[in-house]
Amino acid sequence: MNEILSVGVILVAALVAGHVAQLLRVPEVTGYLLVGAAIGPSTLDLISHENLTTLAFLSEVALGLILFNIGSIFEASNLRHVGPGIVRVTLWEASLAFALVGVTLALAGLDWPLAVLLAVVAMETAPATTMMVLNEYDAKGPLTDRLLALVALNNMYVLVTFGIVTAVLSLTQPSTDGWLLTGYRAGHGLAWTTMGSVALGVVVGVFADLLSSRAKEYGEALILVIGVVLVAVGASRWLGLSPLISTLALGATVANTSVHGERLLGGLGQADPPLYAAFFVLAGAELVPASVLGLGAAGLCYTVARATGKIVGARVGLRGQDVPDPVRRQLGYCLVSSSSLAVGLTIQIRTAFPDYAATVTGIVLAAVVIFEIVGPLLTRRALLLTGEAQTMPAPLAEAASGNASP
Amino acid sequence: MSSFLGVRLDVTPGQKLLGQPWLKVRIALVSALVLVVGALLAPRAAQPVSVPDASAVPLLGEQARREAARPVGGLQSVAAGAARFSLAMPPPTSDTAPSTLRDYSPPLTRLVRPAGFGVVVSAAGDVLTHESALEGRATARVQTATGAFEDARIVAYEPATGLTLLRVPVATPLEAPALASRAEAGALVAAVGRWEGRVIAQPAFISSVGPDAYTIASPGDPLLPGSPVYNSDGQLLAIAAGGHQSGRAFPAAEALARLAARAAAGRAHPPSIGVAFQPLDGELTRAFGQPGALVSEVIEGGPADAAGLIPGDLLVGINDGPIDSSDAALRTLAALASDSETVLRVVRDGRSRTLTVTVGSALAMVALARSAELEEAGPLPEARTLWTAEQLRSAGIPAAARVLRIEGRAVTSRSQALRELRRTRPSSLVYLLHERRRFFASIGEQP
Repeated sequence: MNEILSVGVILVAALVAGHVAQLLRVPEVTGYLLVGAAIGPSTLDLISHENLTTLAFLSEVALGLILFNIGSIFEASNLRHVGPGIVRVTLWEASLAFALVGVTLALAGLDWPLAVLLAVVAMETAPATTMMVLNEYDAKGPLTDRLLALVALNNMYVLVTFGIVTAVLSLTQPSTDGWLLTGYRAGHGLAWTTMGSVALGVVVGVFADLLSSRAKEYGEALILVIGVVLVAVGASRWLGLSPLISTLALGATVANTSVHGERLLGGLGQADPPLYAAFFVLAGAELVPASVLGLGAAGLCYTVARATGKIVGARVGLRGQDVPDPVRRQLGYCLVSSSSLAVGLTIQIRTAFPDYAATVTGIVLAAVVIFEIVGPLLTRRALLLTGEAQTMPAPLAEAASGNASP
Repeated sequence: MSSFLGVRLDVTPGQKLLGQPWLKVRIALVSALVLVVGALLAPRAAQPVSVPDASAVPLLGEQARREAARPVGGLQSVAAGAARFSLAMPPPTSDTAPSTLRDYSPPLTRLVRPAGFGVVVSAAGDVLTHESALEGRATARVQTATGAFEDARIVAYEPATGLTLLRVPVATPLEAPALASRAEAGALVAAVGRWEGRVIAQPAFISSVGPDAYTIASPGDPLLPGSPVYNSDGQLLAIAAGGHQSGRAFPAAEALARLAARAAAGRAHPPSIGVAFQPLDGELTRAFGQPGALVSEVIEGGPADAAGLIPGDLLVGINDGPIDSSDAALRTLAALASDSETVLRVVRDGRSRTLTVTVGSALAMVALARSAELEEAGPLPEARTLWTAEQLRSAGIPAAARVLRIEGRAVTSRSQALRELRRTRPSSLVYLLHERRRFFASIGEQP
């Protein structure tokens, strides 16, 4: 299938899947992911590996826009409500997932470096999936306020921890370069991916701010936003930085510098649904559903320990904070989803520690299939239970209006 | 609360945290500085070896995510592509190249070039290449078809040919190219590589077929070391040593079998003491007067150099066994264990001496030899300026060979060389350099 046809098929499939998802009362994201998995190379092969490779840039652009949006949550007045609280929750939920997965896997008999690497991957929560579910239900409230900022902080925390862990582990690996060079390389890599990426986001953000006063019309604002996000993603790739952190920093900078920030961010909302739909169908197409069958005992430990760590960690982190009880109970469930960052880390682990490649890939790919499907469902449930979902899922709304006017 | 992560948050609603123009500019400048300093401090990556096969090691990078779930192959392999390139190629004598050749074969004049190429030869991620592509390092960095860089380790190395087998970590099995049987002289071939996402195919032809190696002539730039050479059926024929427009290439099928045997025997790095031997024949036998292995080269900084061995020494025994030829010396040395202490008995200036040497690895010697080559310079006189063509022919000395020493004395100029020759007549033992090889010869006076 040529790439234009494949994009067409993806969008039409996404539309159908979205409707079916509403009928089944599951989030649209789940529908997109499932239809992606169905037409992807692992199942029906309507979308081939070649298509996925050529369309990779679509996913990158979409992820960049999503993270740009999430970054804008770090606007100073927003943070005033939830700031220190979410830092604490992030530290708790991610660290507990790390500790539980690490200890469980080590007890299950895995090598300790392998257990530690998997534990870092377990810390991650999917930003894109979470944001899509919140958008779909127009969620508003204390849970929603915290969730996106939490996910953004979580991703940064994961990248920093991953940098530190790989740096320490690479020092324990035999190397011909000597520990000084290895250590320097690892240390520079860590500082570069974090500080460098933030710096890039800030530079591009200030640049966007300078241009934003000129971009008056809706169309111009849209061009500006997509333009600077592409610049940030592309420059990150060119400089070997993290596109994830740089687009987050870009969003945060625009939100905090530009009085036109809201207009810029708002402009995006009307133009991006096709891109996001394509992003999730593509993400689904990359899943390998059959890998779940090969999960094994270690994989099961990983899955259970990670979910437990996230759910319990978030609850402990919220202790003493002024939030409604349902939020305290449900926040952790919203953090269970896992996706592209986990896969990205796995690929880096495979390169840096080839001995562990097979085990890490096997466990993480299978776990991502589970968490990507279960995560949005849990988030939806949490939104309904806390009453933060503003739009009712369509069939319910129809049923309600049908009852009201017989 | 008034601050978050150290940033003061008590701004009035409607006002932006970083709203003031001077603050924005300052933050942007600091960020730009961070980027510049970070980029300047980046550790230098080793120059990579590029793996041409399209099915090579799909890891790392954005695209690699898509590759992760891929079963075997999928992309069109370069081997199949090579068939097209070579069929579209004109005979090397033709003056007009068809446009297809220009499309596929961009000139290798980019500033940044790979150190060499390699080719994936097994599903497990074995990559066949040549030592020159490694530039003397014991580790290699390999760029795969997806553009990712991988650290490869050496699993086998053959000192005689310089062929090296690397292993690149792979998650999914790879597709290895079909191997060709022997080819005839005159056959058209293509040396194929991949660099910066482009397949680079270079036309070449086999100019002669030797027992162990082909001579391959390429009308364009010299082939890069380790370049896989494909025949017109797209089968992997040989691995080029590279570096010259007319250079050696070693049959891939045989090389692979030998290297696999070495890898299986656990001898990734064969032992070496860093010397080259020269068989004693003709005039040299008389000059030395007894059988043995003549040490023609000692690699500076190598184990033999450290032990005090010098070119011109005649090796007559290793440990307790006698050595009567250079072949015997090579055989005996190859059986030694790395890092073992070995006793060498040599004859120098007619006197017998005993030296103790610690055996090293052959690949380390390649690195030392390479660094020594760079230092080698100086206005050494050519053999043709000192002797007649007939003298040179009878002594087996190439006319362009340069004279390093005469009877142990270093040569600095032609006039000094002539003085030495007068001093040492009627016959002189001379030490020469030709095409990066050093050797001894015994040469008589002009009749």
